[in-house]
Amino acid sequence: MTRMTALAYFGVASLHSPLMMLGIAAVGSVTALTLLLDGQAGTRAVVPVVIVQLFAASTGFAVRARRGHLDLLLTGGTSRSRVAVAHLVMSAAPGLIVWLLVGLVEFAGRPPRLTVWTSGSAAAMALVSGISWAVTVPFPRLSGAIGWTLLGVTILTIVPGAPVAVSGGAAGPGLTPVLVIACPFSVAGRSLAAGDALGVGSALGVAAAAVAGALLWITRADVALEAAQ
Amino acid sequence: MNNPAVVHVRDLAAGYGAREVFRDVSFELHAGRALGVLGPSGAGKTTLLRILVGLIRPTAGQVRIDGMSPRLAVTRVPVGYFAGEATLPGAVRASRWGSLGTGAVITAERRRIRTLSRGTRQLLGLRTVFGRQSLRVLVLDEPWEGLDPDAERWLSTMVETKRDRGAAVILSSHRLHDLAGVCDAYLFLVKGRGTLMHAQQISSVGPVTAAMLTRAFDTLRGGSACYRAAC
Repeated sequence: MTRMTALAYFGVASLHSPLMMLGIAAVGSVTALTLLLDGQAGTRAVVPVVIVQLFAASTGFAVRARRGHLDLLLTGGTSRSRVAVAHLVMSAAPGLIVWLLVGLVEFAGRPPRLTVWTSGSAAAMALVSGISWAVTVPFPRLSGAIGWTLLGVTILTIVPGAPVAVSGGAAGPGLTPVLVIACPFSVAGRSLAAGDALGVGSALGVAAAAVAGALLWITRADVALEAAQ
Repeated sequence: MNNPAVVHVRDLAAGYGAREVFRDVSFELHAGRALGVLGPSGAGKTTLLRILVGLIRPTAGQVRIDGMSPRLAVTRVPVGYFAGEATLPGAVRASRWGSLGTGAVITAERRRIRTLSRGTRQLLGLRTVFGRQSLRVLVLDEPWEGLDPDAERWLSTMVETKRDRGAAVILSSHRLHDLAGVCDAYLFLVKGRGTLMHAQQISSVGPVTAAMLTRAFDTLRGGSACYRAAC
């Protein structure tokens, strides 16, 4: 019996549209160029990579499955749990690869301070990759990213002092878990300090819980065809 | 039949939310046998087939494939399933999709699936599933849809080949002539109930014809229970 692997399947039936892949590549290239030309670009250079990952990881599972696009995979010898993990990995991979490559470019340029490969940037990438993917699993592509963006803007608008806190004006202690989730870009480019532990740690905990919930959802979900319901 | 059934279905019921699609569906299918699932549009043929391959859970009853739940069975037993050309992702190139079955190239066609004709897409999906080796269970949902006469003959030959090599084959169609003479038993989904009839019950001499299936189908639609068969 020939078993197809879930990674190979998603390699053929890509989770990202060609336009999205082009967008990821373009943002990565511009960011790398910015860092090469301006060693002081710092945080403002890495934020676009985090933003594009927010949308890139928002691939969605349920709609594709209900159209029958995943039938061959789901009945082809691969367990649902492996399918779920492969879906997460392949959803997050393009953005993460660009992040690593941009970091490599920055590192090669020997800047006075790294901004791409910092603990804050890693946390921001983990947050946008995990939550955006997880929230979108039962919904159409990009819906999680769009919803998150709207939620973030709303929170930043209605919470007093939020814009100052996320812009670094009230560094560290000012960042509550809600603000970190609402605006994960606020920690991008920073080296996290002890004062960030509660805010960033809690936000990462929420992301981990969301990912676990989404993985479980995929392993248990019924996949009825849209036309058959 | 001494060998145990490959597919064992007992008192199966399915529905979406409060809407019941069917109930009281029971049958057994052995290796090297074919079952035809017949019924009007909306009778639950697709739902039943998706339950058999573990994509949907039934609301009641039990399904076992080689003694396992369908969802476990599809990871342990070679199962082939195809629900029609509409389920193929249009953005994928045909040659790459075809290689998913075995890794071997089954078509050199480089165009994206959405640009192919309906019949070509249907054929691509079927060939991808048939490409898998040593199938234990083969489940095809309306496989004749969109095929030209040559492809129809090819499909019938492939189904017979897989069945003769020991696969338990389940086919669905709302067109009775598609399944006439192909199957060893027929499951009619009519009025939310499943009624199983073996080929010998429909035709004591010779193969089952479309006219015989039509008569049986009409009788069941009329509410007669005289065609009900023990499972």
